[in-house]
Amino acid sequence: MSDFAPSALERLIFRIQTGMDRELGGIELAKIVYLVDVEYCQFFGETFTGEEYIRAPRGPLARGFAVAVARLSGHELIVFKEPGRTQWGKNCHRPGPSPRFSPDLDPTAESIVTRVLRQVGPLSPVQVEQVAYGTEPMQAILAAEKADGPKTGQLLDMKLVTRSAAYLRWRANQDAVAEADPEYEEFIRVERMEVEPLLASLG
Amino acid sequence: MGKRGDQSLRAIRGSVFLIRFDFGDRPRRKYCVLMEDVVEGMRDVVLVFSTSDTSYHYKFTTVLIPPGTIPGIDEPSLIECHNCWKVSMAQFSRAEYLGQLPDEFQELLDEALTHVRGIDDALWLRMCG
Repeated sequence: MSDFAPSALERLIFRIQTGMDRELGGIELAKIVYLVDVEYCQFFGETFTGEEYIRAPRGPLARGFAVAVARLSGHELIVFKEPGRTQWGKNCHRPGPSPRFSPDLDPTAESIVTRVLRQVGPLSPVQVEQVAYGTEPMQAILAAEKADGPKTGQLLDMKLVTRSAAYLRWRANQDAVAEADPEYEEFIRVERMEVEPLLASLG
Repeated sequence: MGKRGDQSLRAIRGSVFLIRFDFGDRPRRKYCVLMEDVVEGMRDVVLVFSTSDTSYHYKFTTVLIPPGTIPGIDEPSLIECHNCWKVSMAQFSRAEYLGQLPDEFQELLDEALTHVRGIDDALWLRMCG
């Protein structure tokens, strides 16, 4: 077993790349990482990766993204060049040959990543960019740029991400003291007990 | 009546299914609602099962589906959001698609989910719209 200790960002990058059925350009991959963190913020008020994001020339970028990709390269990721808009070409990624850790995330993060991949999976890179630019932190930067000029390098304010009202209500309801209703609880228990063996019978 | 298998692989949240359970001389039928869009590579899906016992239709965590709302469901059916299960794709392939829950009932379901207790974040996140 490898003693490589991946960061949350590195885990996420590997998970995203393995979850997509196509090669990803570096900028697209960076934007999907950002979108996962935005989604995570909606529910938990903080990012999954713990990263800061800056306004890069081609959109939102985690500060540690380049280093993370470099650390994964040759193991969890293959990084290769394709002709791009510039003379240097475009960095592309696909799953690597000798991963040192599993792409599986904890169940909560996995739920968030699945939600995002479900959304962006069918989209083109340009459409992924549009989704990323439509998020509140990027909208704030774009508005500031309209007023004051370029803000390249400026930190994105992830606190601008609107929290999920449904999630907050659910959490509040968890904490609220509920009046005990033993009969109803028994009803739920019986209903669940009925389903369990039925599902088991399906194999 | 619905068909098995292929359509379950591209089903979306709010799809209603019938699962027949073959218990020898006691065949059973249960209706359930798919709580997330199905995409390639998923290992399991989350389903919420309904019951014909509508006694607790007034509870915040239940949604009553009147007969005729979904083709093939001719009796009132109560979705109980606590009766949610992760079901493997192999098991899910046995489900027969009946129809799509109308938007207004999906909204009631979303509301009901905010009152469910005793499930973890990961499962709730998979079920919420």
